Amino acid sequence: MKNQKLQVWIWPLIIVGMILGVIMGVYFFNDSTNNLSLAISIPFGAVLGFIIFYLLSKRNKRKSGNTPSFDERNTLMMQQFLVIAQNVIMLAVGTALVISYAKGITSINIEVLIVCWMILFILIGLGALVAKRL
Amino acid sequence: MKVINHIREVRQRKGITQIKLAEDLQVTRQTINAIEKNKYNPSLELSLKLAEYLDVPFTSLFYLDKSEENAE
Repeated sequence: MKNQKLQVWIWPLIIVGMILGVIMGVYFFNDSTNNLSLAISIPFGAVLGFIIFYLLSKRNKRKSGNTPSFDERNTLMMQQFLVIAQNVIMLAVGTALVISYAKGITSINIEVLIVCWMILFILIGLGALVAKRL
Repeated sequence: MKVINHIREVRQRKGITQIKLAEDLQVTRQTINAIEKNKYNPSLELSLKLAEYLDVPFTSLFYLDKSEENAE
């Protein structure tokens, strides 16, 4: 019962959190105009994401009855995937750092780091999705 | 040693579908399928639930495959 209540509240909380985060980010860090039009894209994306999630969950419910979407096997597979992902990422980052140092690179742009982090985040997310489906 | 189970035979004998079993035990249908194909060993809790649900003794539902040990 507790889990069901949490599931109901988790999406509105994520959406409200994203909207607040973006508005605060634009307000505090956008030094020129405080242009809040940038903030519209994020809640729009969140709402669109929610609609897609809702439609998919409806379809799944019709297809597989009242079965849960996550169980002990999924948890185990997710744990195994995250352990493997963690080791691969640590190895890859270490290798990239050593290669960069050997090439004589001594500094790196924060923008490049953000892009790398985003790519990593997307890859882990997609991997988790595949691991859950197996 | 590999753990073998008779869940599929017992389930089919009782006329229960994978979806019904999954719904009643609150696991995914894929998990039931993986257990029946001996690709996944369920937790002790789920194993006991399966034995209770199918109304068969635990030891007749799950057993150790000793053929590998004998082959060695």
